[in-house]
Amino acid sequence: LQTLSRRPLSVLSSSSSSIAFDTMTATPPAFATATKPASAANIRSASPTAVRAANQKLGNNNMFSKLWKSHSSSSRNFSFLPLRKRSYSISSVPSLVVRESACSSSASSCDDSISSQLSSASPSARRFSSSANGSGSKLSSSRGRAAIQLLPTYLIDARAITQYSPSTPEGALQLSVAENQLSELPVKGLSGILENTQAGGIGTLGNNKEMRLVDVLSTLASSTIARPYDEGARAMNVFERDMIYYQPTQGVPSVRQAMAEYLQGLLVSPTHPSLSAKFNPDNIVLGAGCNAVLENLCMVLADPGDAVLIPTPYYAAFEFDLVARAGCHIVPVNTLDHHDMSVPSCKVPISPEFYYPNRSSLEHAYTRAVEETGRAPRVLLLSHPNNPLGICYPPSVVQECIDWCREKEVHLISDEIYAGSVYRKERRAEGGGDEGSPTFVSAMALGSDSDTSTATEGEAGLGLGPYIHLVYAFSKDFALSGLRVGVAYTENEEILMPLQKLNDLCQISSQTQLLVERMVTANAIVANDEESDQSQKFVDVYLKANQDNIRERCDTWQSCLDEVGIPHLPADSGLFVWMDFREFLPSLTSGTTEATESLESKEQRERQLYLSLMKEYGLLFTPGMSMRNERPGFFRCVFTAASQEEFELSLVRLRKFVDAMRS
Amino acid sequence: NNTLGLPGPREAVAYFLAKHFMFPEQRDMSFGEALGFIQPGHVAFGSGAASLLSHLALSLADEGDAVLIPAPYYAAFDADLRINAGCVAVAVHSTNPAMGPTPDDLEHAATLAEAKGLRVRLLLITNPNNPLGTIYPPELIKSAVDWARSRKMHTIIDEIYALSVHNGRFESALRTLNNDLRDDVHHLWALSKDFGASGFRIGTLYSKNQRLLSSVANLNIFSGVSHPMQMVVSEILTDDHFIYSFLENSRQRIRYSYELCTARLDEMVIPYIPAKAGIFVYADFSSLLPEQTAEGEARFSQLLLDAARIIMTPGLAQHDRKPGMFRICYCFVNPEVLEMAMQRLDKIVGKIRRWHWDNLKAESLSDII
Repeated sequence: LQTLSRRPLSVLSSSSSSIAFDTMTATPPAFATATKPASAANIRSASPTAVRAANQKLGNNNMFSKLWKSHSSSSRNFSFLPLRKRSYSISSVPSLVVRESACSSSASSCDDSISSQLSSASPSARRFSSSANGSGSKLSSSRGRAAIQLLPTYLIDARAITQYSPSTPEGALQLSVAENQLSELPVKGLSGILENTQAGGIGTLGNNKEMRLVDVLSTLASSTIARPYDEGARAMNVFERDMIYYQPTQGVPSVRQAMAEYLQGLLVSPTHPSLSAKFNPDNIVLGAGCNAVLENLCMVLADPGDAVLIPTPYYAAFEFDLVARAGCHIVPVNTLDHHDMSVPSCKVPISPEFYYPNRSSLEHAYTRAVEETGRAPRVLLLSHPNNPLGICYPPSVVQECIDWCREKEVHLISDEIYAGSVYRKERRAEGGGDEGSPTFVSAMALGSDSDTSTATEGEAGLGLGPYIHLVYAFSKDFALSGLRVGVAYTENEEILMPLQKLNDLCQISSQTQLLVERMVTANAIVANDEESDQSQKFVDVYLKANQDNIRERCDTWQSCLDEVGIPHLPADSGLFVWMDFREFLPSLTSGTTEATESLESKEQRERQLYLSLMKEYGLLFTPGMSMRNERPGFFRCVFTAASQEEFELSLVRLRKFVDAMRS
Repeated sequence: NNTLGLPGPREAVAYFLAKHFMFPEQRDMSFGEALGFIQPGHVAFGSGAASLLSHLALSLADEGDAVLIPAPYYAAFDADLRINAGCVAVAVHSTNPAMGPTPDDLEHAATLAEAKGLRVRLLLITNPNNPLGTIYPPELIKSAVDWARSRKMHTIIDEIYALSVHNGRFESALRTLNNDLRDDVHHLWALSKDFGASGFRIGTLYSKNQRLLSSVANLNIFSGVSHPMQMVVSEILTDDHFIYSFLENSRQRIRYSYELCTARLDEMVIPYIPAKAGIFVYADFSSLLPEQTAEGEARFSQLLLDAARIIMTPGLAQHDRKPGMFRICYCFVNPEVLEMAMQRLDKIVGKIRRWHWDNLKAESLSDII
């Protein structure tokens, strides 16, 4: 099987088998008392239990615990309190930087001379090249200099303009950052948190209908709680001594166990409740954010220069995650021309099917990859539910991708980071005969071969085989991008070890991992008027409330679009609506048709509209061409990034824009 | 905002570095004074020192370039520099490793690397040194940095053991260089060793090179530190009372275990490099090897594991040239376990000396554990 790139093998063979265990001052396992022969490497993986065996009381653990508690209490103005924007918050700031923009360079001016940069560089031109311009300063490397020049032009534009705030009411409204501020609202229906196992619960904030996610996290962080997946289920503190020291690089075992259960409940059980196949905790790798685990997956599946196929339009920062260090070559999967119908002109809604990848478009991209790289592509990356489209691919589409990938021996990475933000659970009537069927069906469920896995009663995992992989994170569904917790899942045993090795350089603090474990295992006390099922998980209550909030915003935004007659996709998931603004584009230069228009011209026309929306009407959307959309004039609206006040103002401004443009 | 870290926690690190690295004698230095010496904007967090080191290598050197490291050195540097950055670690050997590399040693190593077609871009110095447990004299740091500057190279100073110094007296490079880091000296530290908190995954970078910091900011997208942990750590680092009492307590315990370990080595007449810092001692078991080769070292390691259930870090894995050198991490276990380990070591050393390798029989080894 061509399941592994050459890269991780060399990584493994180059690394020394001797790993230092320089944890100081205290206890861990005995290099002198191991009860069976062990290499340094397996001591490392065995360390949590071994550490526990040694027992020397240290002052520092108490100190750390105390601090964690003090930070978790709401009396402090940092910690979990979600102060807006540039404050110490786990929820407000980072999505712009980390998941969305993937860049931190300071913006220059909003100068039209840089307009051509909007997206004209090829998707793969951003790798830190070590060959080009190598003759520069001896004090820095060429790729080091390249690392600071990765900001898409539209973000440079956006940063140069004054943004809305109470003191700058004329500023532009931020509707382009995939951030969910609705997650700061009190969790509807939640009135407390139960301890996981025994009596003596920790629901100190119980009977409080204003309980927010951050309150729950603070409660969980400062509690002593029995961990359901820990051997012996002892009550323990987040700063327990074991957790001070090195842990297995792929994640604390009990946390991976909890994560497996959570993913099962999120991705598989809702549509396949009777599937006996289960997520296997041993196949989970936890890393510092979705960017990190996605990059590592690509590192172990593809060599530098290998092609990764991504259906368009796609999340712009994939170009950073996959190209910057992993050196992958992105080949867009263009879908619009691979359907029986032809793309309707402006004012007529484009139906979602146009954006579905199918065998025809995949084959086309495959051929293009071979032409461009001289070899077969290694990966197909699906964003499902899709960012930026705000829709889920129907099961038949995902199944077609899975089947095609297995036939072609191409790896499918399903990025399901928005799986908990599917706010319309049933498909609408679209004449396809699938009304009422589930909107979202995970590639994990569709790719599972339950026949092969039942043999060992779930121990073998989902039966995905070597070609189907998952990435997930808490940055979107929970807006916890500041926690930096990402998850990769693969049943390809060949890449598992290399993945764990690469994870060395992007591990998550054990304390943060335990906090997440507590969050996904916590049971909720629900308000009386809700279903009084005591066994409800907190995450289920939270996600439902969050989905309700998102849907409400989405409905308001879409009604407004419908009223003013702007075509859009019928959104069912994520934080966005995909809008068709082609009507408002500057007209083509004479002699040019849409079919013959150059890329530069497309970008130029769209950017003009983008700048007008931003500067004249104070509306900041994400321009489609920055997401490699095939046609100019499409914009992504993130309707959850604004406060209620800002959101309402954006409706007013949108109407004003449409009126002005049409008159 | 910034992937380099939240504003408050970056201030805390700046304060901590100024107070405990630059001016350890000025115990009453105020927050404001400290920030006058080290700007929070020059400080960054990363998911462990290893991750920051990888970002430095990627930002400052190109793929295939060489990083000079005085040998013997921490075995994982090879992988840390190679995995993402594709850099090649090159050992710098010197006549007296405990005193650190002279400019001649460095020049010699650089010339050898260049003869192999490598571009030499970085110098990485770990001080206090792992695995030697020694502290380089300030003049050596100065001369090494001067040498690197004369070749327009960057120097990375890794002081991850700075506060685990047995008598508490250590001069940080920040002080030696009078904080004159310019664009080409970069300082690494982490909580993993001095606070035994490797599970926190928190490393710190101090550099005045803004372009480098911008580059690290982008790379940190792959290795950011969770915000609640940054807040916790910032509270720890600014709690002077806790820091002073914890470190004093910690040093006493380290010294106690060090003395326990070296007293046993003395009894066994095993030579070792007297350690002034760190949580390990570097000992010379070469007289016990069946032969003075890598195989000899491997056989000795295997015998220790099989007959005595003891694991020490072999010197060749740390790029020592001489077989038979071992790093003993005496703080990895508590003193009782250490005592037991040293007794076993004593027994097996005695048996090897008495029976020689040819006559070591299974039955003569059976009573070690």
